[in-house]
Amino acid sequence: MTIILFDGLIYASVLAVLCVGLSLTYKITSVPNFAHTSFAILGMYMALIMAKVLDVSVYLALPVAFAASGALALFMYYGIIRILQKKKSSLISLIIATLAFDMFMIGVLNIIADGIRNTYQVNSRDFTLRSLDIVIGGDGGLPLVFVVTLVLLAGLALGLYCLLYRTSFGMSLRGAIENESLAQTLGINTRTIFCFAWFLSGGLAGMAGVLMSMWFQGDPSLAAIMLPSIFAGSIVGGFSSVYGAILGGVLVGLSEVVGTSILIDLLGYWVIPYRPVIPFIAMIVTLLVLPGGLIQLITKYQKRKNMTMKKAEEEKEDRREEEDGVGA
Amino acid sequence: MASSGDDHQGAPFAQDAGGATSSGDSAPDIDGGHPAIEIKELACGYGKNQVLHGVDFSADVSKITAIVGSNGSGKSTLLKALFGLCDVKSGSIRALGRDITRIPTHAILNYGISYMAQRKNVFQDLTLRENLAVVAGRHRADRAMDHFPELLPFLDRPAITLSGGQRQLLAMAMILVHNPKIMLFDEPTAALSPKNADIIIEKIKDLNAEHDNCIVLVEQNVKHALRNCDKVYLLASGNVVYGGDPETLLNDKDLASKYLGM
Repeated sequence: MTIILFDGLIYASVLAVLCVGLSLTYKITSVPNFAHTSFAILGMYMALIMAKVLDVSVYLALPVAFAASGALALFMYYGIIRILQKKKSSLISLIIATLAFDMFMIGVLNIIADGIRNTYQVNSRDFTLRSLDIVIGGDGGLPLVFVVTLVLLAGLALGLYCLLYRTSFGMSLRGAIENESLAQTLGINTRTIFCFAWFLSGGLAGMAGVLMSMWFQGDPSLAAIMLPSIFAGSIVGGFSSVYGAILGGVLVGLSEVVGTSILIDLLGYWVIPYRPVIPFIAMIVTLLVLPGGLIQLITKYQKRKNMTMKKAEEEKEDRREEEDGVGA
Repeated sequence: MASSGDDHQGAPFAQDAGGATSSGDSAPDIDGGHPAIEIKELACGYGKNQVLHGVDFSADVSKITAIVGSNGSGKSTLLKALFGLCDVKSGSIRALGRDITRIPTHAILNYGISYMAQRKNVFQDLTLRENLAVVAGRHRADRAMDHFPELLPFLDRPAITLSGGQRQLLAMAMILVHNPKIMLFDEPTAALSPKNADIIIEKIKDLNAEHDNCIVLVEQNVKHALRNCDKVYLLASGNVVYGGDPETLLNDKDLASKYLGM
């Protein structure tokens, strides 16, 4: 039971972090980035290199992976997406470009994996760094990765709130996402802001990858395996909201782990390979029932409230004009 | 509004760029005798679609210059060209004596120019305070409201909840934050009630009187524009067909009936 709890919460938190990045880049470019998981797998291999090749604490890989995966995301945005957008490429072309980049990255990750194994004789396929983690309270205690993952997710939620709602930069980011052209006319350098957001998104994925390597098995193929899960998380929460992404990521992550565990109890171990069916079902049901995701329930209420306030304001103005007309 | 005394008229209007000054107009020049805005032989558009064909234009400090014309005549495109929002193919644009022909939009603000778009000119999901903070930084946002006390009760409401008139006022507050020397307004009274339109025009005139800046106003409502400007440009099919004194344009029956439907 404890293992399922750890599995579920670590996986759900990591998934939520990945979903935030996916949603953030989607809000900016309106393109679902199919290469997003490859940023995380790069982070996994950064962790492997730090821990097994350089023989330092795996936690030191967190900033390194943040920088490496962030730089990769920045390259993808600035070197591919932005160029295609300038050429007014269609959405399909952009999606295919992200898919192509994902395939390219899977190739690169395989080269990295083979390079590590051949050069340093370190297992780089289906590896896990769980044994290197610190366990708080000795054997049977709390693994540090569990605490760090939850802290990362909580810090991300709080940090994003502070950034987006308490700083001029964050407000500019929200403004630029809503209306890029207006932002530019007001002197906001949208290019810098969007580059920052892509870097942040890739960096967070890299950190999520490091944490994954300390609990789950890492392999280049994980990039493709995890893709449905992060898309499901983002869609269940609401693709256009970073907070919806956190909610969706946690829900899908937990349902994957807990749901699979329940199905094993009921049907046997043969169901394990069918685990990815759970996020697919979540994704399809959401698209059919609540296309805007769970966050739609909140935004719908907010939108209705805003419209009522606007109508009241316009009615007030009309009344004033009528009164002025009568007075005149 | 005092008339500038320009007397350029007739089609095609070819060399107005120096019109106001060459005719001995007393518009105060800056930076060594340059008009605030000076456009020469401007050809521009969107991608392959060319909208303006060799336009000359000038606007002076302390004056309101209006641009009028029918739909599709290129009024808004001329303003957008000034702000780097369309593709310039040839010609030059100078503002306050400096060449800004191909300066990126986000950098044009540094040249003392602000632009208020016709629609979608505020961030609807942001509160009024946040809208101002985006352009002014959080601490200067409140000061930007000095000119717009009527908006103070709504500071913490999302801009989407404002009425059309209030939204235009907020958009004006946002472009005023940087203390621009040149302000470009693209149909600021579009879709407003007559009373709100009057309020917006009065605000623009107040700003002009108070800050002595150059104002360029694109207006669909010709009467509004001619009544309130010092100089007017009439555009048709991407060409300037008149540039000068608004009264002269009003008295020119041919132009007024052919292009303004008056």
